[in-house]
Formats: sequence, C-alpha cells, structure tokens
Amino acid sequence: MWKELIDWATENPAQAVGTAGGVAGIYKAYDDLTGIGDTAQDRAGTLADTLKTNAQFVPYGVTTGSGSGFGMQKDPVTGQMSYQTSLSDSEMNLQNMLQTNALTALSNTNPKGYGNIQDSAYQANMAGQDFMQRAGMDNGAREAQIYNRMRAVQSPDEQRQRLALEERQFNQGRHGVNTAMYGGTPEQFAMEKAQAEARNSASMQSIQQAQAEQMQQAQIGQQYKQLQGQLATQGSGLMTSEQQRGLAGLQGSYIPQAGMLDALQPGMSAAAAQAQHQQYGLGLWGETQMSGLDAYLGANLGAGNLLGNASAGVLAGIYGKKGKV
Amino acid sequence: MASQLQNISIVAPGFKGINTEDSPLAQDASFAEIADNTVIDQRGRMASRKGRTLLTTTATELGSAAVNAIGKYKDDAGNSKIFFAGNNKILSNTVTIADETPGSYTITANEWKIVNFNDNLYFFQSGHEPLVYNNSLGAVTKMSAISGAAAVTSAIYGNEAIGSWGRLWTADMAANKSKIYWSDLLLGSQWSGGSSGSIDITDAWPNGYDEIVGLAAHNNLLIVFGRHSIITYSGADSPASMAIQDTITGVGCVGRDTIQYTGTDLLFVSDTGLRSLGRTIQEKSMPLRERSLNVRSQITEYIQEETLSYRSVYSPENSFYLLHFQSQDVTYCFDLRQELEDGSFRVTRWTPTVFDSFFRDKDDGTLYIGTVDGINTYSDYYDNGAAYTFKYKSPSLAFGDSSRLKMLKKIKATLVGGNGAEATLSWSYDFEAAGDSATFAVGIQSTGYYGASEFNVAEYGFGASSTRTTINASGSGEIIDISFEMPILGSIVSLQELNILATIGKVT
Repeated sequence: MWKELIDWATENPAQAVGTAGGVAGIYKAYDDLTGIGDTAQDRAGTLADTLKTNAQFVPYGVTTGSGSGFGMQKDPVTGQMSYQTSLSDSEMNLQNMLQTNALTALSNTNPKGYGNIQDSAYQANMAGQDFMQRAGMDNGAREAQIYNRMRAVQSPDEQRQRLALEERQFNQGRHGVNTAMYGGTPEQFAMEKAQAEARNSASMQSIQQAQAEQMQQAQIGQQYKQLQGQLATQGSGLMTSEQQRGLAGLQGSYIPQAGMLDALQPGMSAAAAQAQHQQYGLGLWGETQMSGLDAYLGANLGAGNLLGNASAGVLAGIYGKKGKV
Repeated sequence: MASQLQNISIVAPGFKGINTEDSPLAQDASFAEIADNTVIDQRGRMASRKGRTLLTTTATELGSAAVNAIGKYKDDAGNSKIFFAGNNKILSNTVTIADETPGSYTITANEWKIVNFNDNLYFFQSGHEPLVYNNSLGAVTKMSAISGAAAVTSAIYGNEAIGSWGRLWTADMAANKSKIYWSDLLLGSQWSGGSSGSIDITDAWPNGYDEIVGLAAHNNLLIVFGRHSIITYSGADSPASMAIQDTITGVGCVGRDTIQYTGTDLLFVSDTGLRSLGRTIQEKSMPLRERSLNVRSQITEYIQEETLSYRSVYSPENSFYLLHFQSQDVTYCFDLRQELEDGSFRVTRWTPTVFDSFFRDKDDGTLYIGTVDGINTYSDYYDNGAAYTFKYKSPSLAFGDSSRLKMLKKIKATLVGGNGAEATLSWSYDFEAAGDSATFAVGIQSTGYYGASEFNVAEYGFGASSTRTTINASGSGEIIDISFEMPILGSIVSLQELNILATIGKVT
C-alpha cells in the first residue's frame, strides 16, 4: 500500500501536498485523542487501585456473652489468614468436666448396679441351669422316690387290710387256699388286684408327678433363664444408658463450642458482607479499569477513525484521480 | 318155805343189740351180752345174718390175696362194670377175674378208693398215680394219659377221693396230710387251670397237728375228717370261696373206709366208736352223735388193735351199717332201723367172717363182699357153703333182787327158722364161764310151692318153721346168764322168745 501511496504521491504531488497538509491536521487530532485515552486509562487504573484497596477483607473477631470468642489474623507478609477460637474458663471447665464424665461413662464397663445385675443374672443363670439340668435328668430316681413315698402312705393300710384278710381267711380255714383262677382266694385276688391297681396308680401318678415336677423344673429354669435374660437386658440397658450418658456428656461438652460457633455466625455474616464489599470493590475496580480501557479504546478508536477517515479522504483524493484504491 | 316159781320172759331177746357198757345187773334184758353173727330182723328179733355167696369161679389173677376194694363203673349210656383191687392189681369180672392193670404201672398196695364221677371211674391210692376207666377208653388208664390231663403229679396222688360239686376232690397224700386238691369243673383229670385249686388246712385244724383221713360231701358241706378232729366247710360248690362253718375237736375218723352216707346221717368211726353227723336243714351246727355207746369199750379196743384197715358199708336194703376190722376179722353190724333211747344204734357182731371189703350196688342193692376167694354177695345163709354160728348170751339176770338165790327150773325157747339145725342152750351162775347146757333140734319145715312142688309130697306152709322147746335147767346162784348158740346151715333163724322159770330163794 505504502508503495502505492508513495507512487501516488509521486504521481500527484499537488494533491499529495494538499493531502499532506490535511494529514498533518488529522495527525494532530489523532494525537490528541490518543492522549485522552491514555489519561482516562491511567485515571481508571488509579481509581481501580483505590477501590481495590478499600474493598480488601478486614479481619474481625467475635466474643460471646458467655466469654467464648472467635478471632482471625492476617499474616502481614504472606497475607495468609489464621483463625482462633476460644472458650471462657467456665465453659472450658464445663467442657472438660463433661468430656471427662463422658470419657468416664464411655469407658465405664461396670456402671453402678451393673455388677448386681450381673450377679443376679449369673445367679439366675445358674439357678436356671440347675433347674434345667434337673429337668433334663432321668426321672427314674424321682419317680421311684415319689412312688416309694406314696407306697409308704398306702402300705400300712394295705398291710392292715392284708392282715385282716389273712385273719379272716385264717378264721374261715381258708388260709391255704390256692386256685388256678385266682392264685389264692377270690378275696385275696381282689385285694391283690386292688393293691396292684393302687401300685399301678401310684406308679402312674409318680410318673406323672415326676413329669409335672420335671415340667415345673423346666418352667422354673425357663423363668430363671428369662429372668437372666431380663437382667442381662437390664445390664445391657444400663451399659447403653451409661454409654448414652457418656455420649450425652460428650455432646454436652461441645455445646459451649457450638454456642461459640453459633455466635460466630453474625461475624461470619459480617465477613461475608465484607467479602461482598470486597467483591463489589473489585467489581468497581474492574469496571473502573474497564471504563478507563473503554475510554482509552474509545479515544484510540476515535483517533483511528479520524485517521482512517482522513486517510481515506487523502487516499480518495489521491486515488480519486487515479481510480479507486 | 320155798317161794313161788318166778318167770322172766324175754321177748325178742337181745333185740336191743349188744350192750357191754352198762352194768350187767342193771341191764335191760332186751340187750345181749353176746350177739354174734346176728342181725336185728325186720320184726325186731335177733336173727342170723346172711352168709356170703361166692360169685368168683376163677381167681387166678387174685392169687391168694384178698379183694380189698370194690367199685362199679356206670355211665349215662347204661354201661356198667365191676372193678376191684387185690394182689396189687386192678381186677374185673366177678366170675372169672381179669387183670385190668395198665401196662408199665406198678401197684404196691390195694387200698384203692374207687370213685364214680361224671361217666368215669377213678382209682385213687396214696403214692400211686390215679387211674381212670370209662367206656370209651375200654381199659383202665393212667390219668396222665387221659386227653386233657393236667398237673397229674405226685402232689395229687391222694388216698382219699370224692366226686362232689362237679369236681374230684383228693386228699391224704403221702407227702402232705393236710392238703386238699380239687379238679377243674367236670374234668377229673385236670388238676391245674380252670377252676382247679387246693387248700392247705394245716393252720385250720382246731387242735394242733392233724392229718386228713377222709372227705365227705354232706348237707352241702365239705366234711374234712382229720384223725382227731373234723372241719366242715361251707360253700364248697365254689371251692375258692369256701369257708369253715364248724370245727369239731376231739373227734376224728380212724379210717377213710368207715365213712358212709345214710341219707340223713353221715356215719364214720372215731377212736371211740361209730359216730354220725346228722343232716340239718335249719340248724347251723350239725348234731354229732355217738352211735355205738353200748359197745364203746369193745370197739375202742378193736380200733386200738387194728393193724390193717377198716371197711364199712351201708345197706339200706338190710338196714345196717357194717364195720369190719380187717386184721381182727370182726364185723360190727349196726341196725339203722331205729335208734335206742340214748341215740345209739342196735349193734350185733359178726365173727369170724373172712370179709375183706364191701360194696353196695346202688342199682339193685346187691351187697358185694370181697374175700380171698374173690367176689361174694351177701346172700343165703352159708358162708361160701360153710356154716357159721349164731350166738346169743343174755345179760346177767338177777330177777329183780341180786341178793337172793335163784334156782333155775326151766328155760323155754321159741325159735323161728333154723330148719333142722341143732341148737345149744346153756346157763351159768354168778359170772362163771362154765355152766350147764342142753341141745335140741330145731324143727324142719320143707316148704312146697304151688306149681313147683310135687302134689301130695310137698307140704304147703307159711315159710319158716317155728320151734318151741323147754329145757329143764339146774343149779343155783344169784346171777344167771343164758346163752343160745346154733350153726346156720342155709336157713335163717330168729330168737323169738326166752322164758326163764326160776325159784327165788333166801338172801345170801
């Protein structure tokens, strides 16, 4: 282009001189516009820096009514933030006490009464085992014992009856009767049968009684087992309760801290607002910078347009004679 | 001055039988001191007993032994057979004796009790397995071989057996003298099972140890005769329930074969003689009576001296109960027509008889007599063709005053029958054994029968002839004994009357 322009100017010196004058004026305007842009950019930068500075985060601290507090510091060198929380002495004591209690409770494997329950459960278990063991034993001996006791009650009367019959039969001269049908006499047979039935009945009753007792033993054993289970549940509940108490204590120990952290919320809101401000400041700074750049770009654009238009006129003037450019 | 001739008339002398128990002087003249081979006939007179007629012709199987037991089999079908025991055999046939002893069966004694029960004839003897005969078997068979026999062991080898209340009962075993066994109902060979049983009455004897001698069913009671006591059981129709009804202490039974039923009484012989248990309907206790009071001492002596067995029989046809002492060959004949005021029976004595056993056939009333000759019947007036002696001795006669001297003048005797035998009438004074005697012939009367005897030869008559004879007696004494004796030679003789005429003298 420049070659052509030069060629043009060469070819059209008058025009080229007129044109050159015009170009000088344009250039002057151009230069002025460029200066305005730079100024605007510079001032926008300064403003942006000011805004940036003003919008920077300011560390803050919170102190609750109970004495706990929150604070932060900014490393002046690195700018890194550090935060501190603190509890009041009473809160700290409370926390320590609660945590100590919680630790005690959580680590306590023998809460109060648990031993007694354990002992009772053990005794219930042993008693249950004893009864269960007895219930599981062979009934023969017990049946024999019951049978013997029943027979001990029945036998004297049977003996009396036997003796009476013997006496009666003796007086009747029938003492030595032996029959194929009855063994002895019909009365002897009847009495022996009755006594045998009594023995059978006693035997059956002793079996039933022994079974009933066995059942009773089992039930008692079961009851003891249930009692042992209940006691174990109680013991477990006691342990759970102790654990819960420990956990509750543990939770309670953090209440002051939570209160402190709760109290931090307003500070956090303020910090957030400050951060918003900072962001806003940065926004302003950016906008300001951008506006300076816009001014700069506008000025340069105006200068460019101006230069362009002027150049176009020049060139049109140049090339208008020659043709289009 | 001599006193008037005094007459003592003894009508039917000795018709009250022998009396050796009362004082001779105080006795009723109707008693007799001796009445041998006599009976009290149907008219209340002392008469000669019947003899024995031997039925047996061939006694080879019997050998020289006596017939010791006789029984008769009879069943519903009318079959009957006489069995008897002797020479350690079971025999049959009264004429030609046959051996009925089962094979492989050893008999060591002849004291069998033969019982007819439920169409079977049972033989029981101590120490021997019971034997059975019936028409189906056709032979005497060991009880254990009978179909259905049960528990036929030595335990039931009793010496006594009866068939009552539908069962056989046995007792008096060699090893057990106090046990009674009863068979199953109607099954005499089944001694176990069913309703069979036993009773040991060792503890029931009323007076210590005793032994069962015999059994009897009387008045619906089981009478258990011990040697020294008696127990009566009621309810024997259900033996398991029977119970003592009464006991009698001090009176027992000397021998199984002395027990006889008379319908109203149960006769048996105790140590002191013949006894009876009366039949009672309402009274609880049966009356026990002594039936041989008038010969008590004699019988007691015979009982004490008996070394073999007692035999007896009751013959309602002859109205007597015979008690035979086998080793002493003496038989007492108790007349059962009526009893004397003291409850005793009129009794006479038979000796010698050589009787060994008796059996009355209930079918025809025949009285069988077992002897060494075989089987006889009580019939006719010979002892197997031989004569036997009728003896009578009066009680001692004092003519009302034993202090005065008596001088016998005449003895008038009236006899019925005798038929030609020579009789001897003797008298003695003051208990002296020897005295005076006179013989006379008894009249003969041959009786002709219409249509049987020869016309104009035989003579119609009224049966036995009567003889009235007068003997002139001599001597004197305070007490007079009169005796009469004559052989029985095929004809009955009855002593109808004795008239004794004596002069009563001074007091001595």
